[in-house]
Amino acid sequence: MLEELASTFPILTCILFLPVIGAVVLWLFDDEDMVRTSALTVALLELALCVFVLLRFIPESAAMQFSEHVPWIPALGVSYHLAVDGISVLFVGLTAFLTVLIIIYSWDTVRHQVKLYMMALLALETTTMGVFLSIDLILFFVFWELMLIPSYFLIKLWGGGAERHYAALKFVLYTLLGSVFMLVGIALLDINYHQWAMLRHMEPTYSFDLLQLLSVPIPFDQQVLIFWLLFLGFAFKAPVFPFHTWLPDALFEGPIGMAVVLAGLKLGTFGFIRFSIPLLPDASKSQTVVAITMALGLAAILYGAIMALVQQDFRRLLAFSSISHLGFVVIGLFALNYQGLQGSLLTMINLGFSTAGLFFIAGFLYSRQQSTQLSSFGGMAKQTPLLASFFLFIGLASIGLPGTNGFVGEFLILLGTFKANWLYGGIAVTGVIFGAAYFLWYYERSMLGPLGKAVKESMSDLHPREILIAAALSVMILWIGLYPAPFLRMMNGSVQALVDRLEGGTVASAESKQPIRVD
Amino acid sequence: MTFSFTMSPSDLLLLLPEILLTVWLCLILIVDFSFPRLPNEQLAYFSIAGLVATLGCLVWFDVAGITGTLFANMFALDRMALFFKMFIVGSTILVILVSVDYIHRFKFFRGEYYFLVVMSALGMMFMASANDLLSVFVALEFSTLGFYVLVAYLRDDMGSNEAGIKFFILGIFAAALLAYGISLVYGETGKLVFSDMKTAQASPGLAIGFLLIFAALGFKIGSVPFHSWIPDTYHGSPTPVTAFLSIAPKGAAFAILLRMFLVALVTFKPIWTLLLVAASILSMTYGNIVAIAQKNMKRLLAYSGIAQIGNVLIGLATGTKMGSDAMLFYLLTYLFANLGAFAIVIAVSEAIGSEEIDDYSGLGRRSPFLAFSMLIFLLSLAGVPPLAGFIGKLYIFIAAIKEGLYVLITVGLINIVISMYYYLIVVKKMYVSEPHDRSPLKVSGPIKVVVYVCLAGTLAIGIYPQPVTDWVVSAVMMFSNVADPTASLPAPPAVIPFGG
Amino acid sequence: MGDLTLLFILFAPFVGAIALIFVSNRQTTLVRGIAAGSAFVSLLASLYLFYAYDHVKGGFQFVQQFEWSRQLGISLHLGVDGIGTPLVLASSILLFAGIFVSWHIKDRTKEFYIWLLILAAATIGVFMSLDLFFLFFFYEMSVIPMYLLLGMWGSHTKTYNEMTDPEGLKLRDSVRFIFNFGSNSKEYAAMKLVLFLSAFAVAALMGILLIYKYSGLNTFDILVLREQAKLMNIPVLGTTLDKIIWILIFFGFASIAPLWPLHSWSPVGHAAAPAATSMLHAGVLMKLGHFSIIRVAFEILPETTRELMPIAAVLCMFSIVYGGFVAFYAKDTKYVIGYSSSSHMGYVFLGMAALDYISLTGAVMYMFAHAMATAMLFAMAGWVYDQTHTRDIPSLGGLSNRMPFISGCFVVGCMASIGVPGTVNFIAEVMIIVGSWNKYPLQVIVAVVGIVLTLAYLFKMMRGLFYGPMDQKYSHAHDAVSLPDRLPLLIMITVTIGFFFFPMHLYNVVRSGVDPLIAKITRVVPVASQDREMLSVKREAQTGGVQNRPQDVSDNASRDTVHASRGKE
Repeated sequence: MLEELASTFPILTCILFLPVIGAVVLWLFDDEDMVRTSALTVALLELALCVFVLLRFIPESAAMQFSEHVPWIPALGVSYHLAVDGISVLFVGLTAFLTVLIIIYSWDTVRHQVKLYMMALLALETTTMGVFLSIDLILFFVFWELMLIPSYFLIKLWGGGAERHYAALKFVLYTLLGSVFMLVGIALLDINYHQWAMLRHMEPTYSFDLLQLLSVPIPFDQQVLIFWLLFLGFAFKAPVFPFHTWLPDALFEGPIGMAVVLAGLKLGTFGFIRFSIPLLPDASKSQTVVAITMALGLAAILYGAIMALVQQDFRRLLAFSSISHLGFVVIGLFALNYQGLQGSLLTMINLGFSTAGLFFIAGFLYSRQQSTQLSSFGGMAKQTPLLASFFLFIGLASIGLPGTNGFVGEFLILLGTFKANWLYGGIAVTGVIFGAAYFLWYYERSMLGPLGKAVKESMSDLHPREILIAAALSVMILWIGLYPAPFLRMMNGSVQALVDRLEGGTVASAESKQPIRVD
Repeated sequence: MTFSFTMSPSDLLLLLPEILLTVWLCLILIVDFSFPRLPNEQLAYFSIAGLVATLGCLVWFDVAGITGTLFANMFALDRMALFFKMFIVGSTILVILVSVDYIHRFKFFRGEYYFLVVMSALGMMFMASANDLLSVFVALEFSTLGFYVLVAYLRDDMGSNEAGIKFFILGIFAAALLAYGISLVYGETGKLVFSDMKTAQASPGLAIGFLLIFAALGFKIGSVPFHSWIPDTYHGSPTPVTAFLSIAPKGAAFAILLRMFLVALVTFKPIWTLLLVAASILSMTYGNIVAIAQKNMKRLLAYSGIAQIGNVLIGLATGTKMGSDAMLFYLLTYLFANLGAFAIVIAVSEAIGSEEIDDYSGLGRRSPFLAFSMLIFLLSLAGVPPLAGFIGKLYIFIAAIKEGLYVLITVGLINIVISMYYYLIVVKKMYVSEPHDRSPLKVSGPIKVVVYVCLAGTLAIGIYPQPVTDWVVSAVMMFSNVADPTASLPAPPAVIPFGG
Repeated sequence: MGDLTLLFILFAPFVGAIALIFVSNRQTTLVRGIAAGSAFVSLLASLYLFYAYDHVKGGFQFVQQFEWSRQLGISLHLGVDGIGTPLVLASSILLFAGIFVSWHIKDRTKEFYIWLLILAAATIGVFMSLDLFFLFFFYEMSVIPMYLLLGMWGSHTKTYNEMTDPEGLKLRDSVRFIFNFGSNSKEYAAMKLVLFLSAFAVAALMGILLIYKYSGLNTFDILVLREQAKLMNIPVLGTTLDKIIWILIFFGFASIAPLWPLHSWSPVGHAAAPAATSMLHAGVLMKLGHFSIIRVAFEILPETTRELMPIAAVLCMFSIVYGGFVAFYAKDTKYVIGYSSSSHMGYVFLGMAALDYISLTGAVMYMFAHAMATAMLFAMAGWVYDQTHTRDIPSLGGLSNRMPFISGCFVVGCMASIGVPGTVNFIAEVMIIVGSWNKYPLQVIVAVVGIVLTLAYLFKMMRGLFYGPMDQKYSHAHDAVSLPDRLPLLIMITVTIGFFFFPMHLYNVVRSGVDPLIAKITRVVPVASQDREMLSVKREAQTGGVQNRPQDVSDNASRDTVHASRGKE
């Protein structure tokens, strides 16, 4: 199922470490503009590399491409193993893209400790890239954990809110709480592989390598246990509905840049589709798991939407709306059919443009009013037509207006869900309506109508840098909305492979296939 | 029985050390009388010279292996006797060295002081080789005689007088017990020489007799329950005398105990083992627990001394060759540590005129040398590696565990911890507490010498005990006939007998 | 240096200490020079040792033996195996670092360094002694310096300074003082530490003496005893002797580890101790416990160990949870770190209790990693204390502006202590989890929750110290700028992170020490070699050739490590 195409040139390693090296280089500079420009150059280089990978990526194939494999702790079967496939390749591009935008946005909005901020941001990019690129579970976990450190400081030191210390600690604690259980789950996968390898006299005797773990069967009850352990890790990070409480705080207290990363890059759900479902197909298929996850997903959709409806603060609204959107992704995943998986994968990407875009908008508003409270807006469309129109456009994308990217994703998800179970689909649809409701209502109250009291007469419209950001996002939104084919083609192969895997289950696939020899 | 006094020169040779010392004793007295102006230091060094000569003579005996018995086995000069004689003479030399400065506290009879010290040393040398009950009695009283005077030497100090009276009365009492015990034993067995009593039949009279003798010797070594004189006497008497009293007589008495138990009573071993186990447990526990409450350095050392004797008794209780090795070894380490400690007590009381523990505050700042040495000696007494005391304790425990005296060892180990507490209290005073006045202390030459010697001994034995162990092992070779568990590996008993 | 390596490592500090005696206290630079020099010699030697230890050969290497006492059957028998080597390295690193950490000690500098060197040398001695007597000898020897270091250069805790009444002062010299558990004076801490440790040490000594007697070999040599001592099923008091010995040995040494019910001396001691001392104390002194248990109980009583080790598995949960919670509510920086390290020692016990190749290897690697991590934290807590003269977290804050370097390192320290990836602690934790899940899933869950707890209290403390508003009276506090101040932290950080990226040599060395032990305890040959053995058997079956299959465990072990190291190329 997963053959590997090793790359001649270690481009993924470059992608992985370029930002952190850039961060180290930043250390040498003192002049702030110098720091900004160099940070931007690093990010652009990174983007260029990612675009290169996207172009060279062979679509319609399930292969692990650009693969690099170096043993790290052979005795434990830990290896430095990078690769991209249809599932991860788009996220790599998205990460690089968003980082560039964040740096542009932070150009003048971040004023103190600029150097440290940029360094943290680039470090964050590296760790995020690591999460998307790693094939080895321990390597994956390494970056997964390391993400916390820059995030913690980004929220703590550059957050706008008064409660940012609390929010930062809460974020780190919750995520870690989940991920330690995930660590146990990973350990269990390793142990299971080990026992299998003992019986079959396979080398190596221990392995954390996804491809090798895929090659061994896992007893069903074991699968369920591991599934829930991993689930905790991913659900806390995602965050799936009952584990979400840190998200509003983090997004509200933290700086816009951090919010964009947290809301735009769906690491948790990526974890599901990357590890849980392929490694534990039988468990993922099982009644209880599907029922519970679906229930959580739907609950998230409704809860998020309703909460968003009553928010006065734009960023809190966005927080809850992204919880709601994540619900869509989850039900799409656990529809466990082609459309559902493809849709949720695409939606994850879309959210990277739309929700993240809305956070940028929130940032623009914030930099004008030093607040995102509804009370400080009202009828701003007159002062800031550009801002208002981008606001509207990106917002419509996030509620899934046909012609925007959101529509394609959500449509596929709903399709898949209906195929799986019409009841789930039915409930999910209401979410879409709610989504339209809370966004449009908020937009109406903030942008249209009479001029708000707090709104200054002379409010500057978007300046070029902001226009650049908004425009870039809009372009992507339109592109995916109107012509999603290239993106879908990139995913198809891997998604198809995933579906096959779900059909077969571990045992069948393991019996049929010889263990894959890496290196 | 009849004594045959046919003394050949070779017999006299065996007595050479004693004779030498006796002659020197008279010389000291004569010199003291004839040169009243002579400063005491001279006299001190004069008597030391004599002792050194004696020591040399003893060493020569030991190396040349000159041994033998006299007066129909009344007087035995074997390797063990030689060991104890060296032990006694050596400690006497050190004691005289520490007395050199102390002497000026005596208003009168400074010269006689040395005479008496050397005299009791002579008496103890006889004790070391006393091989029958009569010579035991004579030698013991002879040595004690000197102490009666020495203890009360500070004439106008009430404490010293009180100490003298206490010591005198209890000493006489002990003597009476001894005499009574001897008569009982003689009446039962008709024998006086230890080696002849091996064949004696058990009988109440014999038992009581030996119990009385043990009690008398118990007074000498100051083991519970015969310790009552120790604290006040140690406290009251002049510190050098205390130091002397805390070392030499105990050594001598242990020589006698060894002969008595391992030669005379070897057949009754199971019985007296219990007796000794009880005595040693009581001594260790009582000594250590009471020592905790002490405020005066000399009293503290007195009680710790009781506890240390308890440790030595463990070795005796094993009743094996190895046990006696361990005893000799332990006594040696005890000699260095204890004398060193007393030397520092003297030095401090010379400098600040106090022996209260509180006045040791900040000694570490006022005189690092004294404080450090005191630390070493106390830790050695507590049994901390790499100091001699640790090896000594371990040696004794190993000997005991081979005999399976588990209860005894357990108590001993617990006592190590207890004793560590009060030794560390002193350490805390010296190092942690701040001094009342920071004026540095000056230490006189002779005391420095003593401290250096004791330091050297404590550290050397602790770091490389092999030579000393060889020495003590060869010294008590005479007991090798006593059953030694290491000789044959015993199949472990079904149920471990407790208390031996 | 060749075979003299161990002597260099062991005696360089002693020589340094002796040399210091003859130096005047006024020549501070000379004093520091000598101390640092001797520590450096020892460090170099142990680096060489670590580098030169042949993990393919395994077993005890660099062995030295000098007869010490014929009558008692004691010989100074030195040698390191895969377990001792990294710990020796850790001790000498921490000694070297500690000397620089205490660079600014003004009062009685000379004495301080003398005792510090003796402490470290004694610790090193335990890690390399193959003779029960010398193991105990050095073990006891390391306790007394602690007393003096705490007593003379230690610091009282806040509450103590409030309660210094004459009553309290009088109390401190009497027996009641020991039972006055409220006291926070350094004297109390020191005394409690010494008495507690010696009390349990004598228990261990009793065990050692029993081994000596019942082996009947008249020797203390571990290598001889582990081969020839017949201590099994001797009935005593309704149980068997080996159990009694094991219990004595285990709890005797576990007290310094410290295992849960026996831990109470340790945080107090940490709090009172000067920085360098707590570094050595938490870094290596605690490991003496685990190490001695491995060296004595595992080596000499393997069957009993297999039987009774679950005790540790049960107690370690309490260690982890209890330590973690107390650390979370503690207000004193050093209490937090102290309790955290006593909670982290629970992981080591878990790894030991599982008696599995991976988990025990993980445990030993965790000892090494934890030594670095906790030493870092103590060093920085010490620095903060020197600058602000308080360890009271609530009254501190905002120091990151005053001391950016320290606060930066503190983050690394916390990460290491939590076991965040990027530090060798993480690898060790993963190994412990992987290794002990099959036996003790519950404990593993407790352990991972403990990790979260660790993050909670360490970040809480970090926030309390370095962020938030700063009290103006700390405006004079300054950062570590000079090289001597930064060096120790840099060294420890480098080691922690370096071994994360290149763990293989460390792993192989430790594994080579673990394999024969576990093989003996579980009577199973190492898995990797076992399966290779099976393969070879199969191949023989195919070819019809009948060779004699290797039975010797150590042979298998070495082949297993060959395999492990093969992966490295």
